[in-house]
This record gives sequence, structure tokens and C-alpha cells, in this order.
Amino acid sequence: MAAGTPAAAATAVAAAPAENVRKVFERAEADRLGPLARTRIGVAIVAAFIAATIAMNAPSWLNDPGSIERHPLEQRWNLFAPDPPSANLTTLLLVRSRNGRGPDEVRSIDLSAAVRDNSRSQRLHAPKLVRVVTKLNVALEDVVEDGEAVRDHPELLESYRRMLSAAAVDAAGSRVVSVRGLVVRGAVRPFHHRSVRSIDPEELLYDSGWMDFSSDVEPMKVL
Amino acid sequence: MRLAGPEFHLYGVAVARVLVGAAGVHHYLSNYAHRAFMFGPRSYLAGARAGDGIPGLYDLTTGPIAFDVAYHAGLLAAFAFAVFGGRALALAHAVFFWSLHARNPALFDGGDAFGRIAAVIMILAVTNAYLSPGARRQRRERHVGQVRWTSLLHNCAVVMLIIQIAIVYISAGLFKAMDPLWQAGTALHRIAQLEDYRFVDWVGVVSNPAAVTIASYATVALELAFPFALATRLRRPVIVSLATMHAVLAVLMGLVGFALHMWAGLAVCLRDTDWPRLLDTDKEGVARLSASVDLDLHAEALTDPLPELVRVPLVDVGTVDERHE
Repeated sequence: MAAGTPAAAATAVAAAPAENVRKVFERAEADRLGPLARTRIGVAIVAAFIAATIAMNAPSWLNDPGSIERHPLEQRWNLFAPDPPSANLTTLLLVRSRNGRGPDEVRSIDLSAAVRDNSRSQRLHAPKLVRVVTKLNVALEDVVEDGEAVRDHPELLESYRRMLSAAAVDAAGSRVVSVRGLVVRGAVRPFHHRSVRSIDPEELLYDSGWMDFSSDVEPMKVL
Repeated sequence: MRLAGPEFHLYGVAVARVLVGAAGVHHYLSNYAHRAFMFGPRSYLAGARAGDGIPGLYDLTTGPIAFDVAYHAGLLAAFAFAVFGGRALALAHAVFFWSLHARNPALFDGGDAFGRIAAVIMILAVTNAYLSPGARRQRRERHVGQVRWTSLLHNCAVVMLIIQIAIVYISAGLFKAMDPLWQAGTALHRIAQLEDYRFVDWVGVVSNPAAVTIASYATVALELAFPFALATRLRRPVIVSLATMHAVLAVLMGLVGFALHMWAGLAVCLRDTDWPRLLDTDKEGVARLSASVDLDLHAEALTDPLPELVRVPLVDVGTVDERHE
């Protein structure tokens, strides 16, 4: 009796344990679909994957390589191109906290430097905190450069306020009253200025003003 | 490659599985202390920005305990997938990793994007034929070398993974080739000054005109050459060069997770016969590794009553390429 025939499968059902039955059916299935049919099915699966990937990503790749469209096969492979970032964006955090015996205290913290130091101290397993701060900085920079008002992007502003509040808890605990963020841009030096020794000026890109402290956010645990 | 033939690139897929799982574990553990701030129900993300509408398991976690349960289950799934492999664990890892991505996409870099897509594709693949407990027994029971309908799924998965990693490198290479800074050969000087990625100060090295030009052009050339080298003898040197480049970037720029994911993609592109040559160059070592990777497969094939179409001849190491590809 040839392996792969229905008769062989029936014999196996009667005599063999479940595992053997499965194997016989699998083999029968493979034999029934000839190599050409299997190849066609395989090519169709692969072609569907390629088509879906291209259809979902080509518009953003062609129009704006830096953008991300939210969909299941989203991917962005510009990897420092075209035009790698030309500046270091920094968030300076100001924390106003209550002082029981006098006026409120204001403390300033270089939040970007703090998260970068935190990452460098954990070289092989750096958390993504740098990405949290920088992504918000970049989003704010985009809004400002487009000539729009940040207050017209309430979700972005709220996320920024919550991020500042999470860092402020680390700095001043429950005494925090309000927070303020300054986004500063420091241009990186062009190659032809590599030998210049002067310090490049920094530019204030955005000032959030004082914002109420958000108490319902988890602490950042970085300061 | 014959899609309708026996499973190919089994060893590469197993290596990729270990790396994708390890990268997942790395992602969960490196963000462990800050998980609630980044992904939890009281994260910094406000309103609709959390997840941007992509559904995920974390949508069901409204409290901190449920969130922690999901996060730890994801960590466990990634670890189990790295160690044991298999379709069920691939599915579990893919669901948890996708859900984490859906919760806060902005925190996932390009490597994580590859890992997320690879995890889904690996559900179709045989990921535990090597490098997992009981792999030898698994190969014996599955009769590796035979053609079954799952062989087709595995082979499709391998082709999709190779296409995916080719898309990564060809698009990265083309974007660079279009950019005046990369064309001038000075892009790495600018990148080296970015504070977010400055784990080692290498600005001095790329301030040298020759060094920065060679490094910039070599990066673009490698990325563009990758898809075309896959079918040629240059495959191994190009893959080794790219793997080395990712190792260097992991050290210089702290891109460890990115390197693990990219190594996984590169591993899939290596044929089963490439591994002995890469891992052990002396003749005895090649024979020994070939034996562990391929020859038990040959022995099983010779004793199996399969049609001639899929019978795998016992051949020397030098000619196995033609059989698989």
C-alpha cells in the first residue's frame, strides 16, 4: 500500500496512536498537492506579503521618509538618512515646589542630560528614556518650525506636561506645584568647521510656560 | 531555493529565533524599571496618543496589577521563545511584543520594527530544529528533509524574512545614497555628534577626512550590495561585514537591541552549509559542524520511503548548497 493514499490513512487511524495519524495525514496532504501546486501557493503567500508591505509603506517612504504611518506593517528604514539630525535637542526642566517656611523654590534640571547619563551608565541595557524625551522634543520642534501654535496640539502638550511632571516627582517629591519645559536646540558642527574651537550658540526653540503639576503619572525614576 | 521542497535555512532560522527572543528579553529588561512610566495605564502618554489606536493586549489592562501581569507574561514569552522556539511560543511572543509596540510605538526603533514583523513571520517557520532542548529528537520525529504542507509554510517564512531584511538594507542604502551629506562622505561626522547616541566619543576618528569618507561610503556600499550579494559568493563576506558593522554601532552608539534584531535578519540569509564555514574554518571543524547540522538530516532522508522528488542525497559539504537552494 503506497504511503499517502487514503487507504493508508484509514489503516493508520485504526491502528496507530494519534501522533502517527497526524503524520500520515500530513504526508498524504503533501503528496496530494503536487510540487507545482505547492510552489504556486508559496509564491502567492510571498507575493501577498510583498504587495502588502509595499502598499502600506510606499506612500510614506516616497513622500516623507521620516514619518510613520500607523498600520500593522509599518516600517521606516531611513536610518540617519536622508539628512541626519542636524541638532541636539535638549529639554531643560524647571520645577516649582512648596517651601513650608517661605516662598516657593524653583529648581532647574537638564532633563536630557540626565536621561543620557542614565543610558550611558547602563551601556548594554540602556532604557528608552532618551527616546521619550527626544521624541517629544522633535515633535515640538516640528510644530514650531511649521509655524503652528503648540496649544493647537493639546495631546502633545499634555504628554509633555506629564513627562515633565514624572521627572519633577523624582526631583522634589510631593511638594511639586508646577513644571515648565524649555526646548533648546544646539546645532552640531559641520564637517568643514571641525577644527573650530569656539562653543556653538544654543537657540531657545520652545518655552511651555508654567504648567500645573500632573499627579496621576508614574515617576520617571531617573533623577 | 525550492519553495515546494524540504525545509531550508533551518539552522539560520534557529539562530534568528534565539536572537529575536533575546532582543525581546533585552527590550523588556532594559525598560523594566521604567515600564509603568513608559507603557503603563498611568504612563506619560496622554489620551489618544497612547497607542495611536492600534489594538493590543495592554488595552485590557486598566490597572497596575493587570499591566504588570501582561508585561511579565511578555517577558516570559520572549525568554521561552528564545530558549525553546516553536510555533506556539512564536505566536505568544508576537502577540505580546506587538501589544507593547501598540501601547507606545514611539519607543520602538528600526530594529524593534524588524523584530516585531519577524516574530509574526516566524509563526510559520520551524524555529526549533536546532539550538533548543530536544532539537535532535524533534528533528527525528519530524523527519526533517521530508516534504509536508508545513514545509511550504516554513520555506515561505524564510523567503519573507529574507525579503524583509533586503527591504531594510536596500531602502536604508537608497535613502543614504540620495542624501548630499552621505554623498559627500561626511554624514558620520554629524551622526557622531548626536548626544543621544554618543556612548563612546568617536568624533575625533571621523574628523579625519579619509576615515569618515571610507566609513560613510563603506556603509552605503554594504547596504546597497546586500540584496545582490545574497545569491553570489559575496554573500558570506557581506553578511559578516554587516554583522560587524552592527556590533561596532552597538558599542559606539548603544544600539544593542538594534544589533540583535539585525543579526537575526542576517542569520536567516545564511544557508545551512554557510554555518560550519563561518563558525569553524579548519577542515575537521567543518566536518564536525556539518555532521551536527546536516548529516543526521541526510541519514533520515535515506531511510525514509519518500518519493524520489524529495529524497536528499548524501553529499559532501561542498555540494549541499545546490540541494538546498
